[in-house]
Amino acid sequence: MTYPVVWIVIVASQIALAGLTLVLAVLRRDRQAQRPVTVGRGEATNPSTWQASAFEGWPTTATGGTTEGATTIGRVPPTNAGGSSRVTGEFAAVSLGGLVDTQGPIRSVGARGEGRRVTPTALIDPEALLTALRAVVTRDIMYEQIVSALDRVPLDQRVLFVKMLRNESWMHRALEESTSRFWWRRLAAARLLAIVGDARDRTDMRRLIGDTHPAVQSVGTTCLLRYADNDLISQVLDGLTTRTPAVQAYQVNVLRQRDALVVPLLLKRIRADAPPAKLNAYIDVARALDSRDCFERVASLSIHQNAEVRIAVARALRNSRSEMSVIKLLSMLRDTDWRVRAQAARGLGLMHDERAVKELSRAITDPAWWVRFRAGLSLAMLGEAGRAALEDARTLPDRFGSDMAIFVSGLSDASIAELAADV
Amino acid sequence: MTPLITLLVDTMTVILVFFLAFHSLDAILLMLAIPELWSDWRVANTEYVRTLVGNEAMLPVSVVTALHNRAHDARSIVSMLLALDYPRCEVVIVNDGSTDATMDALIRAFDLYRVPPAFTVSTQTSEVRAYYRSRTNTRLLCIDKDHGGIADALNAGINAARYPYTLVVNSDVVLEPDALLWISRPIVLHRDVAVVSPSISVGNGGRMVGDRFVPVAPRSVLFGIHTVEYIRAFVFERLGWNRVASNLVYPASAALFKRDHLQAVHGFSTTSEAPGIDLAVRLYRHLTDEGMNPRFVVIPDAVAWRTLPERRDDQAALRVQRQRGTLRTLWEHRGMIGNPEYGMMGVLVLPVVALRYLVAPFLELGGLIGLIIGSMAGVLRPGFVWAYLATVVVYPMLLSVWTVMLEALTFRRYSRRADLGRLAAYAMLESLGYRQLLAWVRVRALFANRSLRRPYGQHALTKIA
Repeated sequence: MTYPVVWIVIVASQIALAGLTLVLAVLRRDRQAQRPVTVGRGEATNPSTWQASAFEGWPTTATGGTTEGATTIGRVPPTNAGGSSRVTGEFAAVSLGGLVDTQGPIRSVGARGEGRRVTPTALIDPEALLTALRAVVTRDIMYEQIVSALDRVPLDQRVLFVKMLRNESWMHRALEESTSRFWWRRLAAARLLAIVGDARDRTDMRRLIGDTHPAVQSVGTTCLLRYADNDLISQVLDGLTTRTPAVQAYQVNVLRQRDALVVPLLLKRIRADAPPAKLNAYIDVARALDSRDCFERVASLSIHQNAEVRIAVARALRNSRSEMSVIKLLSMLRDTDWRVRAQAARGLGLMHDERAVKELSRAITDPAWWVRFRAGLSLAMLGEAGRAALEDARTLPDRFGSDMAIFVSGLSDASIAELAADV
Repeated sequence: MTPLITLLVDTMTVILVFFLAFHSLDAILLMLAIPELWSDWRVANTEYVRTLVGNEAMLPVSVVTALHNRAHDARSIVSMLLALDYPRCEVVIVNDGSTDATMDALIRAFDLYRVPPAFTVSTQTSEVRAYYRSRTNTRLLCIDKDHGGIADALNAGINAARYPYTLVVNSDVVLEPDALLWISRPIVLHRDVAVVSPSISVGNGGRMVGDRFVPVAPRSVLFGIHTVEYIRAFVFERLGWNRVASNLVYPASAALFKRDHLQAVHGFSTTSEAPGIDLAVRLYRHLTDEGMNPRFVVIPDAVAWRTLPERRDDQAALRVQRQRGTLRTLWEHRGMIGNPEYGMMGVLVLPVVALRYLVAPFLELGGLIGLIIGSMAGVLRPGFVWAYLATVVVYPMLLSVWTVMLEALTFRRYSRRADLGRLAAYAMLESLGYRQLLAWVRVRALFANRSLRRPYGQHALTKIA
């Protein structure tokens, strides 16, 4: 009785593997589907071979025009290994973005050479481009196609073109995928919203910003560059602590570009009684914004009871480059927590303020290695006065201080700049 | 039937059921690798995620490796690590008491100068003689220390690493230039990822073309079988494990950790014969006990090419070490096996590892002997014998062939048809003798009384040079 089970299990597993492999093969081929459309002109020249694509899977059929050297390019596989020495003429979607690009040295076996980027020969009327797009858009590479198309629209007509795009039925269908259960479809919808989104899409934007997948969260945040209001900005600010470091960095970068809306909302949140984790995230945003009001509010937290907050404050203040920040950092050099002292020492070096030499000379004998290290590096960055203080420190009776001074003195200027810039 | 015959038939049936279940699990892992790959491609192919990977959020990483008697290729190994395409990383090289001119070669090649011992020590190691920094490359730190073995040397490197993340790389591994960018991606994108390991393949016979390593299917049958085994076990099955649970990664080859985590468990064990596996289990236990729900993941990109020893004795020694080290680790952490508090790692991964390393070799050999005796004595019916052979020989053989097909369809690292044909042939040969030989080596390892220390491997770049 065991035997049929054995055969059934083995055969079933092979069928399942074959099926899944087939699905994978089909999906891959689908992603590489090539649908040619002729909308512009381009040229590529290369001594031996060329790579004719702005990105993987882009259709690259040459229609019309002339080809010299080898043969007509035909459909170029995604490895983008073309086979012509010189190609001119009307290109398919390659020249939609005006791109025939080798993107660096060619890696195909037996061929080496450089190609060149071909600039579009002419801008295209939005109506004509939209008609071309209707024929060519595929779900997987829609974003790239639209971005390429945007490059071909005259600047004064881009707003109109985006409005026309937003009203296309295929665009509506694509945007509806913001509720898909597959994250990559939500991602695709978010990318499109980042191009065509407006006030009517704020519910979708809100959902995408709060998505579970970090890539969707990031791209969803980019939609704020198209449309933003207090509600959406607040959602991003309040969710910062739950995001991964990469998404946080991405979101802070977007918030920086919306500073007019962000600053008032941030000032409301940077308060001593806020939860420390959130406060740290807000301080990091303030650091990126370059707003005097925000820096003043941040500086007021330099005596906050939570050491993590004080560390964030010390990190933020070095970006402000104001008189007040130097004074605050000098006082933080005597903090009870070594991490705060280390950040303060580092900040004083990066601010290149020679008033810090005396305090940093004292800090090079600090009991904590990191404080001594940062103080040494900072002294080395403070011009002649700092270098002289470092030279004096080499003969200090404190062995730890003199060791650090010797270590830092041996570093080249480039090394010091590199070490000081590190985290 | 006499009781002896009944016992033989029943035992053979149990062994058949065991291997049917065991290989079916491998088949499921292969199947799960396919959606995992698809999902990963989605991330890798998305321009926005590439931006994420390349932006300021990239985590600063210390790359740590240990060298012992590598004067001839120390320069090329360090140059390869310094050439890694990554915005913020330092390279920490530990010269583990080399008796040749390794340290002199490093000093000359990178214009090293001695710096004071200004580093915190979180894990005790054998004595460090000196620390060096480079005048030509500020990202390089070299440590010269007394010989203490690879684990001890890596611990010294971890002590001196100043960045919050540490990539530990064995000196017999070649990394692709953009490896670090891809290895760090899961940690950047997901909060619960504690360890990331690249997929590891056999690099013997490969060559460098520009800055890329181009693998070639080895002509040696043994290396060929190793290559197929690595592709199946260290690439596709690990991707399958990503879907189910955490991977039991082998950090000694190449893995990215948070430095705090390494310090909390005092780095690699200097007494374990498989320090990588030992570290992985200890770390998982520590993080779970601390209330975290850590994930150890393997990524399909960023291939690390590992050079296996040329001599068969050395290869067998590596297997013996891994076998003994793994079983010792499992014994020390037996409380985790089957314990739901440790999630899928406790319930599934560790029991499977225990079965694979402890039970399967005995059953493989016992089944073979039972099959021969039973067939010769005529007590096993032909139908059973065919079913047994199908389960123990044909089933894993088919899985290995699928592995090669998936490799050809997905990664395409072996682009030449001749290479793929050779790999398919090796996949078929794997079940015809090699697997049984491996079982013998594993059984023998349990009774070897000599304690072995993990040796330093040979670097593929040596071969290239």
